[in-house]
Amino acid sequence: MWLFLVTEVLLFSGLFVAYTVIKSINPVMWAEASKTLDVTMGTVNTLVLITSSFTVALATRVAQTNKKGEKNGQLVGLLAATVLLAGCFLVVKYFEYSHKIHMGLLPGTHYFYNGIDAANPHLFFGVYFLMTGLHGIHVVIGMIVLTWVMLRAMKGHFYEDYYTPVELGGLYWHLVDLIWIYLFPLLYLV
Amino acid sequence: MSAEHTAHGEGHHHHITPLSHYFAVFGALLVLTAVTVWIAQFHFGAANTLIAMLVATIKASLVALIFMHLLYDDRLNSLTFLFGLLFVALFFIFTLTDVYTRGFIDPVRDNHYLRDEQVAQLKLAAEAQQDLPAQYPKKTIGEDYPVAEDERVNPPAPPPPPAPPAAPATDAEGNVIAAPEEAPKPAFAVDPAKAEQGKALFASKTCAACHSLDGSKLVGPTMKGIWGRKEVMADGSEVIVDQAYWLESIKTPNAKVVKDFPPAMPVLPVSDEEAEAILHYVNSL
Repeated sequence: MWLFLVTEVLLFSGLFVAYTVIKSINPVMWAEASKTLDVTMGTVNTLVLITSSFTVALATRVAQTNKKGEKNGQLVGLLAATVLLAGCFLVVKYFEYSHKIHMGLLPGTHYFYNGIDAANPHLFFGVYFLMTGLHGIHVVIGMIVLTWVMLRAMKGHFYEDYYTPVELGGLYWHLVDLIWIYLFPLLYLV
Repeated sequence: MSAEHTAHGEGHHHHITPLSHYFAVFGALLVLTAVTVWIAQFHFGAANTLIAMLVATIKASLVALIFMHLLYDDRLNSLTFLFGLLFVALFFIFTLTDVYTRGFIDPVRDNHYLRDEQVAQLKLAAEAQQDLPAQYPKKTIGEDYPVAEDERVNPPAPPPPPAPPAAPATDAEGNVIAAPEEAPKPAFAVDPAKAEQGKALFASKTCAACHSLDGSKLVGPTMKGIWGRKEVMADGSEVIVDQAYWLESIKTPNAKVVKDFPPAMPVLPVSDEEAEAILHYVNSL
């Protein structure tokens, strides 16, 4: 699992390098363009993801201490909460995206916003949509995996000697949180 | 190691992290998020990014060590993850050493990225319709040689290249000192050595990505027949392409933007000398 997580980190690192290079070539534009992002929405989403990371960590712990054959409502509840929080994240993201698309901030040839007084503002939004988009895809995949884990938990599959799916689903979800921990300050704050 | 665990094929007890640790980490993550949002209101320049990354790394470490159990797991997992980070670091180091030092490879003076304040200064000057600051003097290019094959340089140009002025001022070697100011479409005197240097720069400074040499329209205007061409700007004003406009367009690409083109040109690390060399190159074709 950790090897897989490493490949995920490397996948995102390409975008992080692109971010660094484009920002270093266009520092003034970058500062101007990042002002169009809504820090409140970004902060809310950060708190949502951290909380979901917390609930899935607790879920793993509950599974670790569960006795064989018991259907543990707490485990199901924590996993459901995680999936629900992931849904919240996507809803906030949906509002952010639709606002930006409405303003004409889509990258490439779809860019038609004139309110940023600097060269190449579309580059910022190219990076923004790629990074948050790839992250968003991971959120969706995480929701699918955790829903599957939750359904199995409802059948009482997991107990102290067999909880690997909960643990690995949780690890994947923590990675999604880890990536966002870096994306949030890089895109919204600095 | 209990017999039961061994019977299940698990060689060791798994560590059960105390609940209090989870709550402590969760609390710390919330506090650190508040800290990073709060501190971003203040402007410390480059330190902002450093602080934000430091806070993010503390948060990430807490998640990885406690929530993801790296602290108690088999060390092999930590090692795997650290190697992943090592490769990310290598990726960054090699890419950035390339990007940040491109401007320093050429031993030409003043060959570095334009700093923000210079950009702002140039922008102000452009807005006020003033001359460029002293470090970008308007230069006059002498007509040392008549340009061969003028037809290839300016094929669609309606005004024919003017005849050389009757009696240009010349120095001891017979070189022309000053070009006439009001020529409708002045020929450009190409220095072959500079043109050769410019040819390499046209590729290495990525000009060719957006500017064609054959008259076709790419992201930016073509360089074919650029010298002395009358360009209509996005705001309707007209500019004759001369040395000053050439330099301004490279140093502050979006101070003036030709009509029907996007304001897409970045500030590239091109020195005055290099800009001139590229000008010689595009006029040599």
